[in-house]
Amino acid sequence: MSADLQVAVGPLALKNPVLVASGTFGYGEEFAPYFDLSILGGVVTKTITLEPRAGNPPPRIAETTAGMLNSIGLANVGVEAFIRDKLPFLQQFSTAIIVNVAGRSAEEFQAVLRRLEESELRIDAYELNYSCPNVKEGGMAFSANPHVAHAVTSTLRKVTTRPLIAKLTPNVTNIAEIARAVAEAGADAVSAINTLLGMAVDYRTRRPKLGSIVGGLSGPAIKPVALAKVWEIKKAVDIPIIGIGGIQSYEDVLEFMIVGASAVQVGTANFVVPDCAARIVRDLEKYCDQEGISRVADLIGTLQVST
Amino acid sequence: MPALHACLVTCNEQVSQTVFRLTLHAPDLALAAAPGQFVNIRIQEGAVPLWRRPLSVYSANRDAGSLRLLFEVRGVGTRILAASRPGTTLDVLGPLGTAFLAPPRGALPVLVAGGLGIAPLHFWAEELARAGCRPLLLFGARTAEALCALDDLRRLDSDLRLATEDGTEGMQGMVTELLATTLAEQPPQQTMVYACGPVPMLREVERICAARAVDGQICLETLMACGFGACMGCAVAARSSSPQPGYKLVCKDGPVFNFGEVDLER
Repeated sequence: MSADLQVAVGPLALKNPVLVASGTFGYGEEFAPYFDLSILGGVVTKTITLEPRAGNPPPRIAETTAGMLNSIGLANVGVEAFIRDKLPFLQQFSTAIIVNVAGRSAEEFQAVLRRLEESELRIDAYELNYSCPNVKEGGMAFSANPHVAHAVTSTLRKVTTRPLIAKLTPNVTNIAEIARAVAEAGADAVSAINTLLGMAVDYRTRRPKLGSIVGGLSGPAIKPVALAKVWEIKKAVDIPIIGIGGIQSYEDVLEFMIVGASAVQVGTANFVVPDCAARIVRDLEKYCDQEGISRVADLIGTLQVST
Repeated sequence: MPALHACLVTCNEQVSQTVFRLTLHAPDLALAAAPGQFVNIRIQEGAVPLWRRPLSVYSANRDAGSLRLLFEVRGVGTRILAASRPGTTLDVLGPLGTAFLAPPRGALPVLVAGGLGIAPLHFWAEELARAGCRPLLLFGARTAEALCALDDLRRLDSDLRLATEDGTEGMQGMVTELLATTLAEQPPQQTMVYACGPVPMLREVERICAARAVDGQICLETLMACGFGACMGCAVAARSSSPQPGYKLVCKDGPVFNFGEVDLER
């Protein structure tokens, strides 16, 4: 008998816990040549903003030890073109469609969400990108301050009844405090973590390797940090957590689930092995079958800690 | 359609101090690849180096089912690749990117290569020669040693002209000087230029060609994380009159671009 891989992320039912992370999976169509997207628990789209964004000047990426730095700058087609040209493509797959949204202000966030709400196409949840720079509040990211995170989430909660997932930045002193704030404001779940602030330098030219000097670190290098942040959040809130950070195998998925994640997102690994997330789903199912794990959801938060 | 291929290394020759020529048994890729396109190779399992390495297709032999790549050792990834022995299996993603456009009927294809820029142009010269369209191939580098793979180039049915900055082989000077001289002898509407090499060279190629109203294409190389348009890391500024720049992706919109399509000044 095949293992039951279904998990629930609050009101969002997923056929399995393996999603693909925003910004690492384009709009889905880039990966369609490599596997059937329906195998995934869900697709989190590239961040969508109200207006199209060209993104940051190059160089935008740098390779680091077991990781990568990026400063793409939320390059995206904007909400209108997304609804018209990108969202219809995803409808054909039997996988959850989670649209990642961002705005420079609470009002802009609301406007993107409202426009998506008007669309008659299937959207299963929203992921709120609270880590984007250049917001009104003195350049502070939305999830760096619990009061701002609470206020923005409350505002967005009024716009939609669809599940809201707040994506948190690890670049804060106390991520659990932010998680509590968004949970109180009505978020159905949190996803953690977004990229870590990092920097790479070319010693020969004495120049930074990124055009924007600093950028977001992702990949296997950040997995231990991500696990620790999921653990911190798990101890602080009751809402479900989607774990993100350096996941590239079914073993990584199991580790995140045991620590407390209800689901995970595969990110940077998609760039290296385009069908990585599909392989993970298959490997996870095989492992559960071999080990007699009938429901993968039973693993969530089963970390054994000596007291 | 790009796909993942498990390819056996059948030969890995050192052609200069830092340049290697790798032959893969890759029948599907050899059939599918077009000149200008590239493949993205996973160097080894594990997380270091993390990214694949994009390499232009240097040659494809459809009958033998083999694909050849020319690369320079520049860092950890290419160092490991240089040590790949026959019998090694490599995880190869491709073919990726855009290909060169055929020259207009009757036009002379002039191929301008700087250093390792010879890789995609060698494949293009092979294909043009196969189609009975003998190309003019201008190849320049700093020294004779850096004019790699001359053995292959001399076997091609092409008009090969060489330039080195130190004068150790061919004309002393830049390959762009060879181009300027060549274009002066040739009616512009009967010429199509294809160039690959360092960005300053490509800028000069575009400038020389624009002055003579000669059309052409350039092939770019950049850092890439994915190679198929998902990471958006390989952006280059698109040429536009708007002060707000738009970008094109070298992996998906390129690596072959028409003259004037990307802004090489930014």
